[in-house]
Amino acid sequence: MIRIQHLSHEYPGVRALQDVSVRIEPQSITALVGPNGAGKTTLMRCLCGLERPLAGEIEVDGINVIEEPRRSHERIGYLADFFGVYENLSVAQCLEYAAAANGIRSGLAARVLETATSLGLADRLQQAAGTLSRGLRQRLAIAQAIIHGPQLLVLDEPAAGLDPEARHSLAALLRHLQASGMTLLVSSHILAELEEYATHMLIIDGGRIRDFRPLAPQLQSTRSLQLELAADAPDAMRLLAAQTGVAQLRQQGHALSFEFTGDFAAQAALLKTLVLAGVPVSALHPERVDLQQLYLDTLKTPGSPHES
Amino acid sequence: MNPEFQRNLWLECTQPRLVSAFAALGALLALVWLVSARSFGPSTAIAALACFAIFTLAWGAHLTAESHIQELRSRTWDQQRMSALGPWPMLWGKLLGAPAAAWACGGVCVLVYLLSIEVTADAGWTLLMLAAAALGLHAFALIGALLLAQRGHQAGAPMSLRIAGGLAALLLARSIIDRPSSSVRWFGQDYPPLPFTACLIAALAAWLVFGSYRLMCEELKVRTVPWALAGFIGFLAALGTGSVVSLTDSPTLISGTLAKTGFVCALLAAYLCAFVFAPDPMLPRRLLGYAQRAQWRRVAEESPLWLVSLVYALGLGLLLGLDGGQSIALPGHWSRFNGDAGPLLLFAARDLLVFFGIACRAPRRGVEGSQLIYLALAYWLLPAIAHLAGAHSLAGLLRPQTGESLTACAVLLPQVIVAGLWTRRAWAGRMA
Repeated sequence: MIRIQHLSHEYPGVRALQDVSVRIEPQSITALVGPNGAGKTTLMRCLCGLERPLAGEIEVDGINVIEEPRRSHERIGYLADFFGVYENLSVAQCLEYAAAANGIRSGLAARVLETATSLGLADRLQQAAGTLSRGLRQRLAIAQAIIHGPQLLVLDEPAAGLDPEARHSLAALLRHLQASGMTLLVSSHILAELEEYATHMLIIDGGRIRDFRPLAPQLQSTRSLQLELAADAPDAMRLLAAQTGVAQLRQQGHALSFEFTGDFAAQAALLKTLVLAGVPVSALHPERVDLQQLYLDTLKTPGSPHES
Repeated sequence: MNPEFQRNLWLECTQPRLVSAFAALGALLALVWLVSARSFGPSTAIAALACFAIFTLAWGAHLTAESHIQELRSRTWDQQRMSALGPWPMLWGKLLGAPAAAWACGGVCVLVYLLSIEVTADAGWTLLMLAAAALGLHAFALIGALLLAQRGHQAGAPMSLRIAGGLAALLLARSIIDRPSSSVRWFGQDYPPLPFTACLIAALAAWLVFGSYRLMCEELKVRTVPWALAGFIGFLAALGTGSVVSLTDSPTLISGTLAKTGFVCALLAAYLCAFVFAPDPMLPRRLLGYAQRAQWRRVAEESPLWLVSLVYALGLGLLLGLDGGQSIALPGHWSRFNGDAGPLLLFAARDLLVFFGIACRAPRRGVEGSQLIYLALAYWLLPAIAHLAGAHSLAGLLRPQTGESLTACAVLLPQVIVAGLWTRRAWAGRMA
């Protein structure tokens, strides 16, 4: 969906992006994380054709964003970190304008209602946008960005300023958009919440990509799994170590952690083998990734930037 | 309906605004009608025109600029830039939608005006002139607001643009109020003053609308090559040339005068663009990158307009140099503008380099003021001090006379080199 090659961007005295190359698959949710001033917003604005980079190529759904920014906008929805809504217009008028401005001519009212419903704004259509709460404004802004059905949605700090309930609801919304076929790129500082929705994490620091990895187990060739035992099982470690695709085995009390290479069918077969061998398995689940730690470790690690 | 036009109507034509505007306008016109013995006549006609100027020209320009400035302040401009609307629909949606209430008031004024006069062809020309003036002024206001987007909405509209706008408004008012009673002579042909002025204002308005369109293209990242500026310079050159030469004059005189007027217009445009457009210290690196990759169209598209104007001036200057100079001496009172192209080009090159250096060094909001101070020092204060101190040769070095071409070039060339070195250093300092 997104192909960025050797992208560089500068502000006077600041190299905001340095030779950034990355490829993002369709229907994924990529969390773009990094410290303040890392280049996240610049990368997003370049991706949306709002900034002209110094060098490099950006393609969204096969369209060269730098050469044809207007054409690429048909496929992109964007929500800036500091966004605004037309405070004196009603929610319905805001959405009608966004739809018409994005080229939707027929079935305008139906599209407005459909989008408002999917974002939980259907009962607010006649309310002035200026009177909405922060969370509802966020929803309205996202509704404006997606009303034309873009393939890619770029959200810059969408969770900033939202209360926990609104954040949870935003995560559910992002998952819903992904399920409907959209690709999402979301920048955030709240790493703990990325696990709720992100399938990939892209770490950027000093204008360079430091790491780009899948987070969702189904996208990883090797997954970290944890086997929980109901009672002591001295043979469990030996048995597990003998299985195909199992590596880096370690035990902590009744919990056995290991790296597993194989699909879900192989995982089911592994579980069956253990149970049939009499291992008292109480649970087998993906090991929880501490994104915060992963992020901090990545930033602390010196070395060459990530190549994608 | 154009979505941008519709949105502007929603936001700008609110009931309270329309009611208060029509109430104020109605009260003013009713007052004049009452003091004119309850009849329509010259007094109500003048009042209607004055109200048109206040409501449609001035208030309309304010609404147009404010509408876009509000977009910047409320951070909705990026959403519009990301929409599928092209530059033309976006432009006319804003240009006609934002001042729609002002145009509605203007309609009432026109109605009262037509009731107050004997309807002749002159009334039609007057209305054309007023409508074109209003459209042109609204486009000018939109240009100012679009330039704010480049400077950051915290900044004010460029001072130079305000000065240029004020001067243009004065000239416009003068041409409308102080209409020549005799015919206007242009390229040796006599034209009735009212139609000529109306057509001239309509043409200027068309250029302003086109200028705002090109600026909108830039904002929406629609790529354009800067031929429109050449067209505008050509238009101004033809306008100026037509007032000093006749079609019966020799072709050399006509073409030479055209080139000379174009040269002066291009130089003035270079200065105006250097003031008006926010300088981008990243530009040299970007242009260099394009040149290294042989992307020449990109170089043309992204070159700043002051540089493009200077290139046009250089081209016309070379043309003037090839043509001789004696044969194209400007006739009549225009002769005081005679001078060689070389020194003028060097003056401009020096000043524009210094402007760019200032832009690299000065804080963003102080650039224009510093540039104006530099001009005052270079052309007025320092030479005047040198003269008063009796150091006439120093004054000559500071501001050489353009009539003595070789001497002036010899004095100015080192200044251009020094300015270039200083600017390079300032730029490198900014980029470090």
